[in-house]
Amino acid sequence: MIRRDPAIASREARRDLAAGAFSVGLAACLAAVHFRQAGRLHDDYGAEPGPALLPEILLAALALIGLALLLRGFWIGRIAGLASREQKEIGSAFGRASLVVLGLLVAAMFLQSATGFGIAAATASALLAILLARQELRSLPRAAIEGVLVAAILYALFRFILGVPLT
Amino acid sequence: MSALLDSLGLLLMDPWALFLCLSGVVVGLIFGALPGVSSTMSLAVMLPLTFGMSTGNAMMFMLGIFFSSVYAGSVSAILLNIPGTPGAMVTVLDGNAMARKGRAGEAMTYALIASLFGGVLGWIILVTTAPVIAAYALKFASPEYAAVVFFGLALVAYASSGDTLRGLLAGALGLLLGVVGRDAITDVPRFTFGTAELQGGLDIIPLAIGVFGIAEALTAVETIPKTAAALPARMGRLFPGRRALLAETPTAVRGSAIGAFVGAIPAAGSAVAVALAYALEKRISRTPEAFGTGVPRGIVAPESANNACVGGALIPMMTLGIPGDSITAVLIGVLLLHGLRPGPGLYESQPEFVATVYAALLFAIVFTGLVAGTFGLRGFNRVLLLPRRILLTGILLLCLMGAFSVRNSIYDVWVAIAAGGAGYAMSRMGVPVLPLAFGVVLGPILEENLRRTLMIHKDWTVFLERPISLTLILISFAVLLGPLIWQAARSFVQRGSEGGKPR
Repeated sequence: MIRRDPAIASREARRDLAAGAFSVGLAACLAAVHFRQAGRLHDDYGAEPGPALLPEILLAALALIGLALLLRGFWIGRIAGLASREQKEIGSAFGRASLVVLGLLVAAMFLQSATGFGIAAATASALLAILLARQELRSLPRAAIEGVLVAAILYALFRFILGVPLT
Repeated sequence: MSALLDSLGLLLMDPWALFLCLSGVVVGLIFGALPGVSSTMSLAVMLPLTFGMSTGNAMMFMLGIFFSSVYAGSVSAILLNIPGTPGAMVTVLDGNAMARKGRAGEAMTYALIASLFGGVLGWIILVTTAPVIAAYALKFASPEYAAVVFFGLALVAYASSGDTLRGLLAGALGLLLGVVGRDAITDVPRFTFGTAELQGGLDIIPLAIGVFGIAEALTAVETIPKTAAALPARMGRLFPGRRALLAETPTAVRGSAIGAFVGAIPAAGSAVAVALAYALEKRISRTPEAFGTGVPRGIVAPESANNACVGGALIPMMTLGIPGDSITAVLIGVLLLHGLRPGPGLYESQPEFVATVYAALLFAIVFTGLVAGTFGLRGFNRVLLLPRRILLTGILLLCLMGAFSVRNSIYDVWVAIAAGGAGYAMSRMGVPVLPLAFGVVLGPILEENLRRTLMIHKDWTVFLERPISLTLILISFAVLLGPLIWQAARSFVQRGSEGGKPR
């Protein structure tokens, strides 16, 4: 796991730390939910091991894997030196363009509840096409029209051919 | 064999099924040829279209996409120097070198014929070995099944991109997602957070659409090229000559055998198979230095291997219910959607369906040969010039509408978007998403068999007392811990030798 290239080792260490922290955090949160759950989850089912067995094994595994990742991240980071120039590049789990696209998808779902699927899909599609054509400023209006057309074709396919009630 | 012949006959008489297979092949050829659209993504975004189909027709459509997209990955590798799918990453080396010499047509023909050869050999291996494995697996009891699932997850965690520890994290997360909802035995809710939507558990389809469709599209958004694709100026002749083709037969046989074998190992996948096939050919060649300069063998070996992987990957799926790769994980989703759980029981209870799957793959191979052979270069040239903004916009909309159509519920769209965001973030953190999908698929099977075993035998040591489960558990631990021990031993020896050197 220790890379000879300090930049790569530093990147791997940061990835380990991020994944480890996520894993331990998630295990802790889910364990709190699991052990505080009322009802029959923690009852004794006699010969049957019960519904709590696998979740508890998995939560323990998730926490242990997370701790192992954290330890490895600290260890590699200490050797490689975390103050690498690459830190900024990998600081975020999302690239800017992907984050905007994801935001557009979420916004389209909120818009859908107000306007229905058709208008929301057409709006999101036009904006997505414009975003993806951002390198060529001249083709932006064309991209918007293409986006609306793509949405219309897919909407027609699902609504009228497959009979999906996209309202 | 008679069931297979019956299925072939029945499907030949069914124009709708043949049309669906042909449509799948065309879709797969288009998607597979486009850089940034993997076979898994193609299947994930097209999956919702199968909702209204019968299970057999759905498999005709999906296997058409599966086989043809794996072949079509070579198109952009040869013409654009960009692998269309991970399985075509090695084809780039000699395929594009040949195209740059003005022999793109020949390179495409080598790739097509090798792919068809590999597909047929992989199919023969599937048809001949799968029933034997299934017959053996029918003797498995719950401890063996639990051990098989554990073994599959261990292999996936080890073989997935990233590293084993992060693969294990994704696998554990997938298994946890698999237990969300009401327990099948006691009806007790788990991790439902009091919501009505989670009571029935997380559906694999929106998750697959998110993880393999939306997440991959988000990655493609980041890597969208600033310049338009540049196709080779001269394509050259198409047919390299019968003698030249026949000379590559031994390479195709070796590549196909490697592909089918590697494909049958859960999660090893076509990327591993093509690398092995290429490395073997280079090693046994009298002129290894010619590899990478545009030799036909450098195209035939990886292309036969990646298409033989298709048949290989279906072996663990059909016989044990374990996905061979991410694509078969999506295919398992299709079967579960239609109320079928793949595994040895399928061979006993639904032999006609098993024969239909075999026949569907054979039709997919034949149609790929016919369509790619007929429209070949002309068609692909047009496909490669398709603006990526239209493609990615279409894919993202297909994902949203497809997720909605699972249960006509906006909740499933939210699940797909969340899974897409999570899958993208995971890949940026170097955590492979494949074990997550495997975990979701295998979680319920693991839990059912684990609890049944403990209920009957009342003791964990039963897993160590039965030879098959013991062997599988030992191999799993060897796979997981072996590399760590090997690495520690190597660094210990290195340190020892460095310490012994005079300063």
